[in-house]
Amino acid sequence: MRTIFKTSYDPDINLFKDRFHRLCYAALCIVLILFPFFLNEYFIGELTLTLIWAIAGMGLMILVGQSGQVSLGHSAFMATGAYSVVILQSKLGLPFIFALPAAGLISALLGVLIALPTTRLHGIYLAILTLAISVLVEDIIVLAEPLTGGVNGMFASDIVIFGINFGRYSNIANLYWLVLFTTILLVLVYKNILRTPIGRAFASIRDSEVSASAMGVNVVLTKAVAFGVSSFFTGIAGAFFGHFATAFNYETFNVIMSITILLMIVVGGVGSIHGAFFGAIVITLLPVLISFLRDFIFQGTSINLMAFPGIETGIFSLILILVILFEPRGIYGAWLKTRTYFELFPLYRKDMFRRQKSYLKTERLR
Amino acid sequence: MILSLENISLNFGGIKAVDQVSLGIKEGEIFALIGPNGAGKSTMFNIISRYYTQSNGSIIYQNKSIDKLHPHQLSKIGVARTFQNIELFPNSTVLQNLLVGQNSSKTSNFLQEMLFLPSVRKAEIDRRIIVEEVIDFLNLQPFRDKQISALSYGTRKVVELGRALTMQPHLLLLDEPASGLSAEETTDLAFWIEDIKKIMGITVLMVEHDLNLVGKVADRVGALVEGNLVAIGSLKEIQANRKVVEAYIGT
Repeated sequence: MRTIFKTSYDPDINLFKDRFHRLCYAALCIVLILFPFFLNEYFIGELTLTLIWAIAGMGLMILVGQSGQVSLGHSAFMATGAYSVVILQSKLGLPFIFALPAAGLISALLGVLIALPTTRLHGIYLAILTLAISVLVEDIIVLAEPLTGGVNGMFASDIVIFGINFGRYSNIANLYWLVLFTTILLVLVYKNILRTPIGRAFASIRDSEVSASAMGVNVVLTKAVAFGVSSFFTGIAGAFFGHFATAFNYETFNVIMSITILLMIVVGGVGSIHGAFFGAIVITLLPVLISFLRDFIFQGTSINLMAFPGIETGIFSLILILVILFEPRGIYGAWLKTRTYFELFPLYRKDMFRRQKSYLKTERLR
Repeated sequence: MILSLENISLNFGGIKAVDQVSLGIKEGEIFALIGPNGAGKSTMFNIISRYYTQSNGSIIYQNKSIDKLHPHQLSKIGVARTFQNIELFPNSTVLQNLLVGQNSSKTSNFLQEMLFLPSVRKAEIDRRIIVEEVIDFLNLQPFRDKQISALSYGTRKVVELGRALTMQPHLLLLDEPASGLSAEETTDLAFWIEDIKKIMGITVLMVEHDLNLVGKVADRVGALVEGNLVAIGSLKEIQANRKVVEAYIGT
């Protein structure tokens, strides 16, 4: 167990706890940057997709994990991001480097517009409303045919920045590095949110709106900011998703996608940046793993699992049920427990992470 | 007068929870509201901190009406409160809880914070210094990095007092600060409340059932009975008042 001796308040504010911590993340970054040199194109593609999902996951994590609001409609923001980035480039001729943040901002605007009239809603009501909005966005995409291509969808051309091609099929390594760079920037923004007043305002409305307002937190405004930041992240993810898929239509961004993002952060661990990444790894790795397993079983026993469609959805659901039953804090929670076990060995107690019942709360002021 | 209430009334349906209450709190005093259960003490508190809007009357704070303010705007003008049932943020550490109290005095907006500009870091350190003073004052050092959900009830009460203090208020509203505390913890609390008045110069308005605590710290006491303010004076005078005795014991 390491003990950190602090002589100023800076170590509590800094991104990294100490030099060891910083070294670990530097090493991780270097490995991630070097991946394209020793992996084939298929795996680089999968890695890129993982990072895109992780960005979307961080977006929803800000909303669900940090500010305690639920959304079943995040595919709407993915769609907004994907359509905006392509339309801005093809119709307005904006270069990608401006179209990407603009697509994020358009999604953020949509998020704020949804948040402002719905701040009185909690839990299940907010979930239903966001679900309805995502269905509505699907319809709007079909109706706005001149702009969105209607049911036929759109083609996203290769990303080009300063004459360098970042195409999905021509230059997947470049695309991977671009997404990686954006992901790192967004992780830094997320970290900054957590260590500044805005993050504490998010946590305060998550835990108790009554006392948040007693502390001077404007609940309505904070919820709108949370929605805005969340949909900005998700919009960026959507923009990359569109370029990654190269062709997409309204059906690409359906309810299943919203649920996938939610599933991702629950399995990964609600409330932590790590959780978004673990969740993204699970949902991109799982189909790969299943197809390997399918081939393996087919070769060994000549049982063709291809004959059973929906096996992926089944396994996803099973994982979700198991996680909620046995590890509500997700993969990141399990990792924290394991790490604490070894750090404190042999002093770890089984109930160290047990959630305690909170004392009576003032509900009548709501 | 730092706070004056003029003819405050509040009806819930046909029930008069607070009836024509007028009251003035002097700058720098400790005023305690007592009264049997259901007398309207907490309702008064929620009216002053703007969670409820009175049906009649007005509230004047530092010569300005605060009738139109929202709860979150009170911290900016220097009013802080605690809750009868602890309302901390259970998934955060003590330090983070106390830092929230400084949120209302921040000068940066969320975009600057997301980019973590150098000014944001400086402001964070300034906030931390104020919070550390409160931690020192309330002896919360051992709990600084503990999650609220891991603390005992008594400690949570102290943290909630601390969180109100980090807002650096002029007027502090304490809603039953001693409920659920042991005798020893109550003694500590009495010293703290006195120091809050003497050292920090904060005016305190509290609702309290523990008459020992009230007798130790309060300069003036007001007794609420069924929504009416029946007596104001020292605790001795109040305890001698016929109406108050009737309300507590019955006729």
